[in-house]
Amino acid sequence: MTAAADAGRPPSALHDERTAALLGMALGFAFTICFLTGLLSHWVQQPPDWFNWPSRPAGLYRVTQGLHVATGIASGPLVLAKLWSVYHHFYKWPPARDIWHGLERITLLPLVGGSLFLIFSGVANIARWYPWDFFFTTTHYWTAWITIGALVIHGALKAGTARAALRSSTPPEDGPRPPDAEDGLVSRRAFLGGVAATSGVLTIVTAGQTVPLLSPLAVLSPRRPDVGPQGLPVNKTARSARVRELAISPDYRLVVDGRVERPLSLSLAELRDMDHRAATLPIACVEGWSASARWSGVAVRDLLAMAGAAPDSDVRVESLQAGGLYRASTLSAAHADDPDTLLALELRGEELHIDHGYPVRLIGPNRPGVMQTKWVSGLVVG
Amino acid sequence: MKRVAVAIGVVVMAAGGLGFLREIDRTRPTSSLVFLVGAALVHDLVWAPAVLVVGALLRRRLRPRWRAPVAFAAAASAAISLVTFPTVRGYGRAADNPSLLPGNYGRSLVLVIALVWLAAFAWGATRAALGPTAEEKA
Repeated sequence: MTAAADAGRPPSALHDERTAALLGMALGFAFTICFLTGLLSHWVQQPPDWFNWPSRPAGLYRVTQGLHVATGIASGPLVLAKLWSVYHHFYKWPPARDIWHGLERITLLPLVGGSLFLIFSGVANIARWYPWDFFFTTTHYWTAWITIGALVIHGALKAGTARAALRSSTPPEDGPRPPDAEDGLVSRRAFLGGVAATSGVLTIVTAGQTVPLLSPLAVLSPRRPDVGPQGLPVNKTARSARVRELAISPDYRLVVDGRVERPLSLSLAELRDMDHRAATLPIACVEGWSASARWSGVAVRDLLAMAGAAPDSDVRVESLQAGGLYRASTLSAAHADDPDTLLALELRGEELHIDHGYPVRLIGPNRPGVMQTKWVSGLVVG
Repeated sequence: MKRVAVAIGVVVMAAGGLGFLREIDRTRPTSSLVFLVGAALVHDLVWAPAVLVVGALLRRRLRPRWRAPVAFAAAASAAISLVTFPTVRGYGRAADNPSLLPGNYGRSLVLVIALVWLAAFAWGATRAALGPTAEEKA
C-alpha cells in the first residue's frame, strides 16, 4: 500500500472504526452481564422490599456469581484491546469538535477509569489483595453504576459511527482481499482472534474454580474447589473470626427465640439426637468459586416448628462472632421454610471442621457463601 | 433517541455518584479515586506507549508472516500476566487458611505462557510455509 493511500486512514485495520465497534459490542455485552449479575448479588445480600430471592434452584447463585467473576476476568483482554484500537484518538487535537463530541470525551474518564478500576479491584479481591483504604464491595458496586452509566452514554453517542462501520464493506473482510493483509503489523481478523484466544485462555485457567469440568485446568484460579479442611475451601477461619474458645466450649447452646411460642436452648448433644436431614449443596462464594458437598444436620424448619415460630417470618441467624459485617444473616421466609436449609453438624459424614463452622453452621440452597453463617449461636424469629 | 439514551446514562451515572458519596466512609475517595484515575493514566501514559514501542520493534525486526503470531503471543502473555498477577504474587495468602491461593502460580503462569508461545510458533510456521509475502517480494 502506498503512503498516499495511507493518508487520512487510521494507522492500520486494528485502529479503524470497525475493529473498535466489534470490540465495543463484545465489551458492552460482557459489562452488561457483569452489571446484572453484580446487581443481583447485591440485592440478594441487601434485599430491597420488592425483591424476593427464591431458595430454588439450589445452584442458581453459584451460576450467576461464577458468571460475574468469569466474565470480569475475560473482559480484561477485551478492555485492553478496545483501548488499543482507539488509542490514536487520545492525541486528537482540538480535544472536541462540538458539544456532543466534548461530552463523549468527558465521559471517557469514568468509562475508561471505571472499567479498569472494576477489573483491577475485582481480580485483586478474588486474590484477597487489598492495596487500598476503601471498602471493596461498596466501592466496586457504586463504581459499576458510574461506569455502566458512562457506557450507556458512550453507546448512545457512538451508535451511529458503529453502525456505519459495521455496515461498510471496506476491505479486508468483505471487499477483494489483497494477496497479503500484512501491510500493518497484524490483520484485523488475526487481532480479534488473538483477543478472543487470550480471553479464552484466561477463562480456561480460572473458571475451574466453579465449573467442575474445568477444575483440572484451573491452574491460575485463586481457589481450588477441593482444597481446604475436609476437602472444601474456607473463606474465614475460626482464628480470624476469633470464635475458637466459644465454639469448642462445653457450655455451647443454640438458642431459638424471637417471635416463638416456646424459646429453645439446645446443647450440642441435644442437637445431635434430633432427626437429621442430609443435602448436597454448594458453597458459592461471592468471589466466584464454588464447591458442592454433602451436609447433614437439623432442618431449620424443624427447629422453627419445635419452637412454635410465627409462620412466614424472616429468621435472623446469628454467629458466635462478636463483630464483623457477616456475623449474622437473614433467612427470608422462603429460605427458612426450604427443607434443605440446614443447621449442619456434619460435612461428608464427619463432624464439621472448626473452620467450616463447628459446632453448627447454616447451609441452605441458593445462598451466597457469606450468608451461610458459621458458628451459629442462635435463630431469632421475626 | 440519542438524547433519551444520553439522559438515561446521565441519570445512572448520577445515581452511582450519589451512592458513592452517600457511603463516603466506605468508598473513601482519597484512595479509590487515586486508583480510578490512576488506572486510566497508567494505561494511557505507560501501558499503551509500551505496546506501541514493542509493536514497532516487532514490525521492524520480524518477517511479515511472523508478525501476527509473535504480536499475539507477546500481547497475550502481557495481558494474562496483568490479569492474574494478584493471584500469582500471592499477596493474599494467610498462614491460617491453606485453601486461599493454594497453587504454585508462578510455575502455572510460566506454563500457560509457554503454551501460548508454542501455539504462536505453530501458527507462524504454518504461515511461513506459504512463502514470502508480496511485500517481501517487492
